[in-house]
Amino acid sequence: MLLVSENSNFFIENYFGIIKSGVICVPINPALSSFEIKYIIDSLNIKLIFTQNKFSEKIKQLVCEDVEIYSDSSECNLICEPVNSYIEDKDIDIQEDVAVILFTSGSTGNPKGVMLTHYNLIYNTNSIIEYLKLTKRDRVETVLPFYYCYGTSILHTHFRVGGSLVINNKFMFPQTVVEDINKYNCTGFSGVPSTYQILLRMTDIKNTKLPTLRYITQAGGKLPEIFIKQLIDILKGVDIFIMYGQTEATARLSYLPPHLINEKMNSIGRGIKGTDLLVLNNEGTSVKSGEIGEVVAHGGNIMKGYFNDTEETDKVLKQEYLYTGDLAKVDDEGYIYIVSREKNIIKSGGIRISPKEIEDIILQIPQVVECAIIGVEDDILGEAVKAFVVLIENKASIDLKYILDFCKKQLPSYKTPRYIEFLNALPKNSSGKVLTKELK
Amino acid sequence: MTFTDYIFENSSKLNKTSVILKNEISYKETFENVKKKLLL
Repeated sequence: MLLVSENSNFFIENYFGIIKSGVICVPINPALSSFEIKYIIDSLNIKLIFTQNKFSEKIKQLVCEDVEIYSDSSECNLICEPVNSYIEDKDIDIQEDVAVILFTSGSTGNPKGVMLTHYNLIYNTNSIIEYLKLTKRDRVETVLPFYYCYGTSILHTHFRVGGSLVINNKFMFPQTVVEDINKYNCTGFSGVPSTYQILLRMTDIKNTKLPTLRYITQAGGKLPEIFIKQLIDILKGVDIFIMYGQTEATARLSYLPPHLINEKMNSIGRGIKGTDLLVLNNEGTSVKSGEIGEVVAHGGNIMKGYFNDTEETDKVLKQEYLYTGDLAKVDDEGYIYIVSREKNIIKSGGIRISPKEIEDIILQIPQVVECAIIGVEDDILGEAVKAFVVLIENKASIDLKYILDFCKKQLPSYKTPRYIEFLNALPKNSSGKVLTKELK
Repeated sequence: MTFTDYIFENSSKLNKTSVILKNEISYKETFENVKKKLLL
């Protein structure tokens, strides 16, 4: 069953209700294009859709007459006498039966449906609860959508422990996010890199006391060091969890214990309990300290596969090991440092350049809110470095030359951007991840 | 134990844990609604 909803009570009721009824729940981003939604409906042969009213017209235009659509206002139609088709729990094989399919953008163009079993969800939820030390006293403010694995994990963990969620769907007004932490006495907050970059540079968080806040979590990409340091400086006494994961691993793969955040700056930590997280070289053996390899994971949280896509599944799942496509180094104590995603590495004049290194430099400029680096075609070098820069609104007192000179002082010439373009905002998906494909 | 049984395993032990959606909606109410959906 398809679930089309923003974060809401409607989502929560229907999400758990669908899974409880023994059916696979497929929550999707309502903002997906009509083409993408139709692709998902057709490829999964969806026959029943739950949607918020606000999206029902869009959905109706995409489906045939034999597909039933229920919205907020049609709930009465759902209540009927118990029927024999209800699946008893004992009929569910938690190791084999899929509970949820989450869609991720695929490199081939079409989204890929990540199949997660009941066991995957339970396994990862337990691990996260343990290291975050979540209890029923915890109350998290969430700005991350529940159809995104990071957001889903927040929903799962807090319901399991009997904690609470404060839903804020107004991140376009970031000051409300800061205010809601105090208004609702939140103990936790979770975000992706852009969440924290915007909060740090576009709100009054630096001057706001957050006495109830116990911890924050960050995943969904690497938060530049300068922002990590600002968080440490501002949020004294608050545990800051730098984490790493993938939808294909249910959500979470690693975390860095908060007390190591200074000592292991920029590390994503080590594998969470029950998950082996390795960095392997081309020969398939663990890398030596400082050597770059691919992050590979094994554990009960690894997906069953991509729905109806054996070819793509076989590319990433090999003998029960998930090959993440992320490149990383490991230090002497086994802590992992992500270098880049393989597909994002810029190959310029035969040299491999990590976009993150250049982004980190440009983000040191206080007037810069966001930055993204890509490789663009170059007749001589193969690829040249291009920077997209977003400045703080109404405070843009710097120009291209300033940024270029700043880079030249800190980067070798081959890493200095050949091109710089200012944007009002970086293109992002609904989870806040930067869409580098659109920049290209 | 299925995933949803696991999620709600301790719900009977909880007094009144709230899911706050700007206006509070009780956890219990949400769970009752989930149970209604079981009748699908």
